[in-house]
Amino acid sequence: MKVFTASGIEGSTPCFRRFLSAVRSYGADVGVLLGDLTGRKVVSAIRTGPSTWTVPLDGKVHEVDSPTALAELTGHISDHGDYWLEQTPEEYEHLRSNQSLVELYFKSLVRQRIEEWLTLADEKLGADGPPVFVAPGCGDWRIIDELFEHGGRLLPCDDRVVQIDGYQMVTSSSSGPTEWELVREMDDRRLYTKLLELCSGVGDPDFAILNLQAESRATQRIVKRFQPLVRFRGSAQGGNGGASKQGRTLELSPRSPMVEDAAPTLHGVLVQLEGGAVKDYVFTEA
Amino acid sequence: MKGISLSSVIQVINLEKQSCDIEARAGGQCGQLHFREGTLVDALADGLAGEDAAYEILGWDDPEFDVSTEHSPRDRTIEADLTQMLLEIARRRDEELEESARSAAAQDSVAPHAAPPAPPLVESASGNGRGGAQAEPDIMAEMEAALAEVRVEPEIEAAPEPHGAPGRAPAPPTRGAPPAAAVRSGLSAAGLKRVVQLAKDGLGDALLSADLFSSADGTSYVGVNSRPAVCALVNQVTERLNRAFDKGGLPPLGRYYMAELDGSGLLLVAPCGDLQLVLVVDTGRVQLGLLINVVLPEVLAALEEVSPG
Repeated sequence: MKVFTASGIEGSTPCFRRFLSAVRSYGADVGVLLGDLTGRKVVSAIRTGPSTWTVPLDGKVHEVDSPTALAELTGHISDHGDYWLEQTPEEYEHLRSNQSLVELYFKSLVRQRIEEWLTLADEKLGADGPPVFVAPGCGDWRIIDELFEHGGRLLPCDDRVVQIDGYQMVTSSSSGPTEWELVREMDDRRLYTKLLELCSGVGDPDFAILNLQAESRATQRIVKRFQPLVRFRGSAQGGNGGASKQGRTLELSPRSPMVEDAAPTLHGVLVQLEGGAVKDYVFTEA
Repeated sequence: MKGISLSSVIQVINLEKQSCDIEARAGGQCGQLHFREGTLVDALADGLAGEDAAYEILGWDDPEFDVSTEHSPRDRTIEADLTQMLLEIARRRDEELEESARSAAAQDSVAPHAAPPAPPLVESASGNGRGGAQAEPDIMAEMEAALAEVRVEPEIEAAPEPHGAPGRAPAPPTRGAPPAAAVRSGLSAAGLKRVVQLAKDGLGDALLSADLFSSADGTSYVGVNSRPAVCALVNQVTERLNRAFDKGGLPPLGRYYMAELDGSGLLLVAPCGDLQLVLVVDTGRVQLGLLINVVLPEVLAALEEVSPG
């Protein structure tokens, strides 16, 4: 069985498209997309005239003087996973003083993009394509979770054990404590208990795949205790990723792109499992 | 506020059990939606109230709206579940779309019959005292000149007009015309566009130009930054490669061939039945792995689907 796993696409639709294409092109029997799935910021395009906009972005102020130029800039923003909102100067000022409204719009844009992806997945994967599982990351808002529960081509796998062609795959988006106070983080003791409960559903560890993106004492203990065949984990932003052994477990971590990378890039790993062993693996970049 | 949909905002309000009022506007109409702890409790729209007003507003196409978190007290007039209401709206929209698609399909039906092939653009090099090897540099020089012009932002274009009437020497193409040649050849215009669209989606800015053309006469059916001259020249190159392979006892061309261009360009040609796809790609903007392993298989599959025979 060939499993193609990618992670950390952070709102980038081009990366999502590549993921869908890669699952088929690499001949994977199953695709697994792990978080973070959503982008990091909303950019304001402030309309200053009939065909002029001011766009504050990454510490610079872009003066845009045509709808074409605006489409180009907002396209660039979207491609890199972020979101944009066109506003009047009054709306912009109103939002600056209303953080709860900003958060409402941010979350709405996040959901909007995931909904677009669900449609895209249904179109591109078709009815006969391989199963594709998806789980958010520890930095993704919980408002996206239920979107994957409606029976589309993207199948939810977070906080559950799923059966794939004789293997069991365990996934959790939870993380231990971090310096960023992420949405899904919890103290190590609680995380360990949660993962222990989750992994108790696993039969033979030689036929188990563990998707635990975040690294913490709890996840290390779980890997050491259960010794699944393979674990997919994330790497810190800008990290090179790689493969390592934790006892009998092969830990695979695709490279993580820098936010400021010029072009959005999909980093993944294609693993071939056979008879309860890892026959081969290759890290991919597209 | 533009770039955000009303339904997305409403769903977040519902999921996060927020209390707020929304004022929406579309096509000269305006309405209000009132939420209390995520529940839609009241709505008003142009003389309508309650559930009827809510359905009216939720059915508007791309309305503008403002959200106010300073909500006023309201009596509950709507008992229906918001999710069910949104599903009902989506169902109605799907029905409308299906109806539109059926109407479009009825208009898009194509009568299949092949256009007579045009004569070759240049005489065969054999038997005229000029060897093939001597003829090639002229073609390559023309090709390089044509490719050098390709450096503008790609836009999917309708197919250019065919190169003159069948059986005559090619005339300069007209850009932006309907895919008349494709229609005459019994090809699916939507299928042809999909091939090029897939290349554009997959390669983004790295795609400098793309053309899907007829091997019979080099006519480009559909393209991005369409380069009719490149089509005509590549058509000859493909034909000559096939002849050379045949004479040299090699198998015929496979699914595609590539040529590295000076700088960071790559020419990729995929012959498929009576069609050929030519892509000019900036390899500085895309990894070859993505092109070869991800984009190309998808594009070739679509090309095989659309190519007759």
